[in-house]
Amino acid sequence: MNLRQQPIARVAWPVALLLVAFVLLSLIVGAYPLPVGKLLGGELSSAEWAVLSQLRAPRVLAACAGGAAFALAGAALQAMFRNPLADPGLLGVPSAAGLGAAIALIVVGAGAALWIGALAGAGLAMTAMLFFVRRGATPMAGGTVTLLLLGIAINAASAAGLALLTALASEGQLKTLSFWMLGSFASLDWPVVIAMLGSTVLGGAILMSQSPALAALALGERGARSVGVNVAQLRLRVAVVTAAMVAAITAFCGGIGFVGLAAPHIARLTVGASPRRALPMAALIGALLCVLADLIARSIAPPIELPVGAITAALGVPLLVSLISRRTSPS
Amino acid sequence: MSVDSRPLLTVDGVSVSAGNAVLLHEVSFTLAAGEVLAVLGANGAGKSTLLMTLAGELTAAAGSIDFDGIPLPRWSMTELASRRALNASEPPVPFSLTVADYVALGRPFAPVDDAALNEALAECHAGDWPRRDYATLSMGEQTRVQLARSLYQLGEAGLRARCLWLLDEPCAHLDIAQRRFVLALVARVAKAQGWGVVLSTHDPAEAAQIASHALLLRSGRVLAVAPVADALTEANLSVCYGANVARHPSFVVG
Repeated sequence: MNLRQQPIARVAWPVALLLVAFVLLSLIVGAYPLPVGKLLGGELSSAEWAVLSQLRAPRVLAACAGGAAFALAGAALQAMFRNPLADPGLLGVPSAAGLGAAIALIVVGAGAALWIGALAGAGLAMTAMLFFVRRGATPMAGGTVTLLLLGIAINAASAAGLALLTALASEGQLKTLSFWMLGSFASLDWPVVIAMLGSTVLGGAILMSQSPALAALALGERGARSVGVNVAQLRLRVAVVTAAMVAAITAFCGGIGFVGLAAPHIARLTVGASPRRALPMAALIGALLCVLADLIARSIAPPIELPVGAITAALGVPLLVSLISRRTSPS
Repeated sequence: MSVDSRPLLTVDGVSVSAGNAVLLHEVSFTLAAGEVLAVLGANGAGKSTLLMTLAGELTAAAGSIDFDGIPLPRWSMTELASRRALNASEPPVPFSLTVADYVALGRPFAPVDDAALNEALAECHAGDWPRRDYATLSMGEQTRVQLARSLYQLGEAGLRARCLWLLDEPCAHLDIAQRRFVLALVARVAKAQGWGVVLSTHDPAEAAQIASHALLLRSGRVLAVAPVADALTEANLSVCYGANVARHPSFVVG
């Protein structure tokens, strides 16, 4: 008899099918609708083909990559910090990326400079984190508490820097910055989308390879070490991989809030807490949340686009609250 | 059952410091396979420090610890985990986890062996609980499941015997019935599998019930280390706890 929880496939298939359905819907719905019949029959006009290949497809795939990356990072960090409230923002990487982008925008201007600034900011945050994590193995010198405190410090410094920069920014720059900070999957080129997908797949594979060790952290760090887990090495790997994944997405899409917190919660409630099951499930749910959010963001009042981060939060909060209340209600 | 007479654990002149404070001072003893060593001492005497040093959690500033003839630092983490289990106080599990999933964490890198997992749970009289939520168990029930995790952890290696089981106050917070159950379980497994056991306790009666040898610590120094009959004398216990200790007639050693 298998004493453990049901296999992931039973719950994952419906979510995967739902994701495929919303991906297809996202490809045809928008300010310029594409007829389903012509799409399936391969009879799109050159203008319609350009909309599909240059606007919709990269955008939908970017939403999949972004959602999955934030969700995977959130699930791994929650297991590592043994805290269901941990999310990628906790390490300060997205906010450092935001500060880098703001500096680039104000000093150089929009466009590629924004991305380079964001990557540089995220890279600096990661370097600071690595410096402290590698320095020592004692709980305060290089442990989980240090990571948390460092994340808090980076978040505070980034918020202060952004507040100062807003005083220097022009009205147009402020608008670009605030929209970018709230997240968007629009206007991404194929090389960028491929880089996002690549970093998500690679990062996800590395995190999956660490899932047995992450699971053992349920015993506490000492308990995990006693069953053979190299906790210091695990902490370093998870911190680097999640920070790199989040940096790659944030640099191009801005801050996609709530997915990193909500998707792992929903995944655990459906397939259990074991990271081996929760990580892939969180990736599916994160991708689904972002594809849905992007679809809503550009469908409510076209051609106006709403910020994706606001939609992901609006979608995730009621879903999370209903799952939690169902789980905790007396039966 | 014939037990290998080579020492399973050789602790020689081990000292542990934290800053300027000396937590353990030149502690030495040997433990043979199948033996149970009870570590006693007042609060702050160094019992947990000794257990954590034996587990490899703390590094000795001086002295050496050999486990099955190999210096402890030379053991890889995974090799050590297959031959040495530790039961000490644990933080609450952060997420909902079934008892079976919890016990399976004893061997996190191996495919789950359901038969061994069932056997470990049954040994701890927890065979009916695999699907229960670990967090909803009582303190005593959680202790039994934690012991099952260690049995599962060493289960495979147990066939080869010569394992080390470290237990830091396993009976803390338990009622009389649960204490008896836990002590009987540890004694039974140690004898049947030929494992060496080092167990810390505040209760000399517990030590007398389960252990073949006792080690008394006072302010990080060894006061006595000997077979329980010789170690747990009124004089030693009085010095150990800094209070007059009289043995009740029902206090049976051995």
